[in-house]
Amino acid sequence: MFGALDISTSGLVAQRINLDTIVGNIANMQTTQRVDGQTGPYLRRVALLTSGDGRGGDGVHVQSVVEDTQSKTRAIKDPSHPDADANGIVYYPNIDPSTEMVNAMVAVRAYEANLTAIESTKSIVASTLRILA
Amino acid sequence: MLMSDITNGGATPLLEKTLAFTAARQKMLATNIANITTPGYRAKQLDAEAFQKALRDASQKRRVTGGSLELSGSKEFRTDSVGLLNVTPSEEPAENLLFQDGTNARIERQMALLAENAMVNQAAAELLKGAFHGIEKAIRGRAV
Repeated sequence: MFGALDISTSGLVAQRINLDTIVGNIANMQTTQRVDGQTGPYLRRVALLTSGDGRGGDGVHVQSVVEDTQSKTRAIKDPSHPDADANGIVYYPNIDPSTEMVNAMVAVRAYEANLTAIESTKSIVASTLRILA
Repeated sequence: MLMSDITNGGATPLLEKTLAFTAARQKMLATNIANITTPGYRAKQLDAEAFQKALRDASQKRRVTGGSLELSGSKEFRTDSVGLLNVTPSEEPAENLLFQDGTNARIERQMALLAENAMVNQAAAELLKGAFHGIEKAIRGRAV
């Protein structure tokens, strides 16, 4: 029975990491420099969810957070920008705010579903403990 | 022997099996809900109707032959040598086209099953509580 609580908690953790990744993308929508100080657009990050708790049990976990190198970055002509290349083009991140907002909503709803599952499991545990009380 | 006749007779073993089944089913539903956004995950299921039918058959068999409750096993559930219930959830068939991410989980269905499962568990727990309360009253020899 307590296994069900662990499973729902793994869902909460995975969805929070997922949401952290998404809000990180939204925050970095205009970032034109990498973490190491090099010029270049921030690349959209995606949390990869995998079933299982990573140690052989049931549940869900974030296997890794990877950069999205597939979708195209936005090229905008702005020669006065310090991060513009030799042709005066600045590359902005490959982040679409509407995609990120939809993904954020999915993550929040999935988080809520796990919370409801926890409430349900708690009521089951409570009623089972009441048998002999 | 007397005490085991009291605790293994009547509805007690049926209720105990129901509690074990709903506990295992709760774990399976929690897994389905935790993996609701996992690409490629296929929802698991435990057939509650098949379980109730097995319970009903076992109960009728016990009425005829006497002895303890013996649940006929199936692919999804069986009792082991000491009478504990073991379950193996099977994969839920995809009724419609799969979603784009290869999953077949419908959150509405999972949440409804979760609510139903919790209610069945609570009903069984209350009935079991009543059964134990009756035994307790008999032991004490008075009505309170």
